[in-house]
Amino acid sequence: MSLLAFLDRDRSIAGPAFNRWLVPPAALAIHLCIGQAYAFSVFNIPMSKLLGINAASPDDWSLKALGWIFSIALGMLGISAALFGKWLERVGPRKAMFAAMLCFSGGFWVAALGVALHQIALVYLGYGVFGGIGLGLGYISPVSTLIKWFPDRPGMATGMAIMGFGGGAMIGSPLSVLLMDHFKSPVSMGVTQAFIAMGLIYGLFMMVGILLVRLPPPHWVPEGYIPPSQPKKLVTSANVDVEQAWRTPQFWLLWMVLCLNVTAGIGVLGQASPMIQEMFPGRISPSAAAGFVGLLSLFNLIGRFVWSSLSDSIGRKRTYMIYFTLGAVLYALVPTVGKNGNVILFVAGFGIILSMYGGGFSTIPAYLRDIFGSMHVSAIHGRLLTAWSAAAVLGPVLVNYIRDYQLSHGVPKTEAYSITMYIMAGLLLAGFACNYRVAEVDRKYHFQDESTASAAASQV
Amino acid sequence: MTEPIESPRERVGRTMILLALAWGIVGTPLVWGVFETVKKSISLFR
Repeated sequence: MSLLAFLDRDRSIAGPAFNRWLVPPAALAIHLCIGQAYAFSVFNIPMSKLLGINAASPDDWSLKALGWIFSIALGMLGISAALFGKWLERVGPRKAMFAAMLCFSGGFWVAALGVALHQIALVYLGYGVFGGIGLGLGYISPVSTLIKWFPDRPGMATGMAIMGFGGGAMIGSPLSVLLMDHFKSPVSMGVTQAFIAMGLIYGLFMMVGILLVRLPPPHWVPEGYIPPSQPKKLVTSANVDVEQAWRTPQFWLLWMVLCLNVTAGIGVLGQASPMIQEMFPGRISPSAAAGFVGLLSLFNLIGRFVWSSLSDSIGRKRTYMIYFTLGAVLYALVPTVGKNGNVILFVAGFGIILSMYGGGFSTIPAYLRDIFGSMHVSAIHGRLLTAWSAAAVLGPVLVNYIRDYQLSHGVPKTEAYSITMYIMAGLLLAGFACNYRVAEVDRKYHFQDESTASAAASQV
Repeated sequence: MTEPIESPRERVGRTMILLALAWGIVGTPLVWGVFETVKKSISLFR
């Protein structure tokens, strides 16, 4: 059997003995790899000393220039997820995962060449463009497959996969440090070799997912599962084509919901280390601040699984209501907690906020399934991820700009984050309003040929 | 030549091994990553 035939959608339909619990590890194998993107910053300092080795030389790359690598990758994630979602629905998850693997691993190798030749454009092209396409394709490729295998618990299933993206950063960071330390020499920072090795390791790991993933046979349902005769409120039994979905107000309301939830979390995540040190001067050391960042990543990871699993019981709309109300209250309390000098309460508050930031990512695929049906859920999810790209720019800019503005107007460092926190609370309240307005999609947008739709929905 | 027919018991056993293997492969690095993160976080409470 040729490789292309193996990747074919028809060849990846599961046999009767296949166990659906093999699909979450397949999805995790992909997400644990691409989640490395969030740990890319560990390369920034070593890459700023490639020529000088012990200290940056004038010809070395600046941190500002290196910061663009991550921004390009995240931008490409949104673009590729939006562009290739429909293709993924057509070719199935195995081929899409394989393409993601080629782009992600290949991106590392092109970036390695860029580092070896000291050509930053090649690093932008490799990790930024190719790697970013791998991120986008890899992120959405297992989503609809998981929803098909777990119609009884779609939130939990997608939560497991998207939790992997959070876990990927936790693996990527120590792995990168380990590899650079191993390959470092008096004349090299070890970045080129680390990139080559990571391309290989991640490529092999993603192959595990490619080999494991299966589509359920048409009209398959889990043993003992009886689909509800009366659909729950806000859970449709109809399907909406991706080309129609983005014309509905529901799509843009959910786009805003994701964008505002991510903006509130991402800005703080990027500034967590200086923020805790400046809010508690003399009490939090840089290493303790690094511990705070690690703890937030852990809450982010746990939240991805716990909140989306909970959404299966209480409903998606209610889950987002909790994110937005509890998040706004916690953000509004942060300045007071900071003033009182209570570190434990401060850490706990941000832990819960970051758990809901993660939960926002993992609950959205199941929310889309509820609103638009499962026929084109991956493609719709792909288009919605442009909200993430927008938030990745908006969040850090808001936090940094407001902080700098306050400092330049004589506000003490310990209080410089207060206004930012109130603005974040305001953003979450705006998210609450958008979520509140989400209602069922008008029938005129429903896919008419339901026989095709149900076949596609059970096969994608 | 006919292929040997797999009994239901053998099939369940094979699936269990595959499940353990798949979850072990993805779970091991994830546990390592979480462990490294927790180790780093301890400095916050010292």
